Amino acid sequence: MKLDHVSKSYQGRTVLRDFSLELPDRGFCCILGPSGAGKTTLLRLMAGLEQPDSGTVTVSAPVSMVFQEDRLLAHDTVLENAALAADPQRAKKLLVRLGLAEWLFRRPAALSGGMRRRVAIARALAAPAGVYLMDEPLKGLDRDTKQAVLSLIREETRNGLLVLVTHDPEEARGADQIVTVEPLNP
Amino acid sequence: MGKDFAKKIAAGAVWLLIWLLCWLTVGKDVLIPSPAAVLLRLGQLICTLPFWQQVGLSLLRILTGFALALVLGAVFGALTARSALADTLLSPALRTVRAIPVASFIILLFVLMSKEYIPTVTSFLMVLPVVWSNVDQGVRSTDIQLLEMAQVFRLSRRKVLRHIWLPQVAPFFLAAARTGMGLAWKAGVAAEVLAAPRLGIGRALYEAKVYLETADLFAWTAVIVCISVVLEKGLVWLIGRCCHEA
Repeated sequence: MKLDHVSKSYQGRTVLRDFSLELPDRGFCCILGPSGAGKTTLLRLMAGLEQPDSGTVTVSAPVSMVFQEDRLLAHDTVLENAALAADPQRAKKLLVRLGLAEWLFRRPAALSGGMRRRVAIARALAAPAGVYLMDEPLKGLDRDTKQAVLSLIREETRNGLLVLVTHDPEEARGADQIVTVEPLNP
Repeated sequence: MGKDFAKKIAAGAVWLLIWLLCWLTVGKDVLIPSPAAVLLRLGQLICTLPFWQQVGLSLLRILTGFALALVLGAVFGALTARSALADTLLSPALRTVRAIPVASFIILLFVLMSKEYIPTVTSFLMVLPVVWSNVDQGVRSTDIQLLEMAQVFRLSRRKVLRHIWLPQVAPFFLAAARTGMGLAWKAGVAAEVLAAPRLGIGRALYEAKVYLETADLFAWTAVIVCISVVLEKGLVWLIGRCCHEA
């Protein structure tokens, strides 16, 4: 994964300026920074959802993602959501490990915010990918659950590259690489 | 439920009483026939083969126009919502069709085609803009975030259609179908009255008017109302089943 002299602006406001970053094919990279620093923009560029105004973004493996919002399908069950891009058996296994065994055939509307977050995580982990982009995946989870879910994420992404965006330094513990981004001066 | 049913019966009885009073006051069957005469005529009509042929042919004509409008309206809605070129080309035309009164269409079609096809084309033209407009709105309101999610997870077109587009657009489409059904039926019968094809409910209404058979006129009107109710209830049942299975 390589971002080479990347710049990105939205409606005249520069979010990233001449930003470069190179990451290995495997490992855990944490992107830290306050709100508005461009963390989500970085992930969107890596996911191919945005094109840079200048510079290049090269991603060498298929991408999977946990978005800042859960982005679940309201008409599908929890299991159907998690298995959307993956083998249903694998998705089911992950949902069980994330404590959602009793909720497999319910719809997202019946779940709490933290549960929906875990479904989004299961969907991302179940999908066949080499790069896992996670935008504040532990948002809305309690402290104990956070630890367990982070351990599961680390375990399931050990053969690929995990890029985790957060503003909580606690979640960056054990990262192979920490990238800190700061808001640009106008 | 029992209370509601009793209320409906009571309301019906009140209107029947008003009809009776009007009949007694006017005193001329050619202007207002008695409820009994209409009921008798309705019973006689139902027992004849031409009645069912007329009803069947009207239903066939109007439902054909309705079905065509559902299909083409959905295609046009998807096109105008997703393509700027299609929007520029089709939207003004469809808005114009929506603004034209049904009578203008019928008269125009009278010049252009055989009177046998006029009810079908009229129903089609009445329903088309309704379905187009609703589907266009449904497609435009589809959640961009879900489409991005589908892009990231490299979902197939079939999956995107099944899991994102259809659930999003279905309520808009079904609402249009429900509105369109009543519209198609009324416009189709009106077209039959004006075009007077060989057979059909409209033709029967036209003849009842010409020969001053007011009881026939009332009986056929009752038939139109009953079919309209059955069609709407049937469609609601069908929609319910579709939604349940989905």
